[in-house]
Amino acid sequence: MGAIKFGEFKLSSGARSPYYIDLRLAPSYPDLLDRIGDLYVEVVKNEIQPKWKIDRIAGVPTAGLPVATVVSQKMRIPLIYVRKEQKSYGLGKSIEGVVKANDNVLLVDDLVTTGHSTIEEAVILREGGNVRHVVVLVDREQGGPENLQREQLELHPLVKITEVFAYLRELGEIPPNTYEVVMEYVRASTKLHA
Amino acid sequence: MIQAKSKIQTLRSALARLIEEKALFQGEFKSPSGGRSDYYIDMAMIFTEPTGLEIVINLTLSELGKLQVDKIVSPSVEADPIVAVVGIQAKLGSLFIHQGKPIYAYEKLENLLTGGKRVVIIADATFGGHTVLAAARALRSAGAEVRTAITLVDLQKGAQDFLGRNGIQLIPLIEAKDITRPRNSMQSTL
Repeated sequence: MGAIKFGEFKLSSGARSPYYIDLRLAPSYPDLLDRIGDLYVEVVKNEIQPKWKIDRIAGVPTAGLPVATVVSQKMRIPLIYVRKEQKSYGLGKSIEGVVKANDNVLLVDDLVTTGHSTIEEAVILREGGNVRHVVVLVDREQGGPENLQREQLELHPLVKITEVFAYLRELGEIPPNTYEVVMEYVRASTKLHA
Repeated sequence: MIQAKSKIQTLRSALARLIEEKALFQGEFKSPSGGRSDYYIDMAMIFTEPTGLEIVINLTLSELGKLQVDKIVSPSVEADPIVAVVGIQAKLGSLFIHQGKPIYAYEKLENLLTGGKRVVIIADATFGGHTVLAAARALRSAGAEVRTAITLVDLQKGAQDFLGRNGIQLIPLIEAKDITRPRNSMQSTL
């Protein structure tokens, strides 16, 4: 579906990257979004629910909100979501939906790079409830798990980006030199951020 | 058919009661296009909760079932959750165009419209209809056919006429007239 592109990209943080993942394309393929939702649910059921009761699923617009809603629906757990830019219309809240003090809030997002934007989201959500776990589709392996851990956040990725690259190379979907470039980028930025 | 119709009626009144109980706020509010209202309906209070979400999904699917549609579109962040889950249930791809701008970083809207150009916009709430029209314009310039929009709730501030003049029929699941508002207009329903 072209969710991973190789080339020269600028990330939301301003940093440059030789690859880009756009999960905003997933809802264009409803079966795929459904299956991705099932994979999130599996990780939540296996890794988190046995040790932590979940009261709310939290989503992050724009890329992370559709899949968070799918997880909320499949698990029948109420949804809340973060508004990073305060709305100037309507009620102008920073958290949509209902959350009570001491509710356990599971953060569901699309991906983690260094973890800094995830931490910002968790800080907003902690005004509402407890945030301990984060589930994402992809860990870009640029220091995310380590940085999150310092904020008492445990990361549960469905896949790591180097696993995705290895798989794509096996399928012949990326040329060997592109593979080397992106692997070297991940190795270099892991050292930089860890 | 009569049974199916009465089931939809039951769901509609259940949704109206849920809105009165959980989503209706009294006071001075601004709409996204700058219009004013002395009350506000926050549909997020309904579809973030499993029971409300199921009702909204079923009513939306029932309206979609009457239409020829290839893709559904969210015109704002507020409608993204409902559009994503309705897309899965209806087996329709969903697209996101916020305030008239497609959200995709490296993909053209044209490329996402291959395989069918008949789109239906699904809004969480409509005031004057400007947010829906902004999405429709972006879609039309990418070659899509936009004739219908569904809104979970129409606040009856002119959206039906305004969109009608622009070639879009607006289908509301609930209209302001279906909602009973408390007499004391400054008192919150929460």
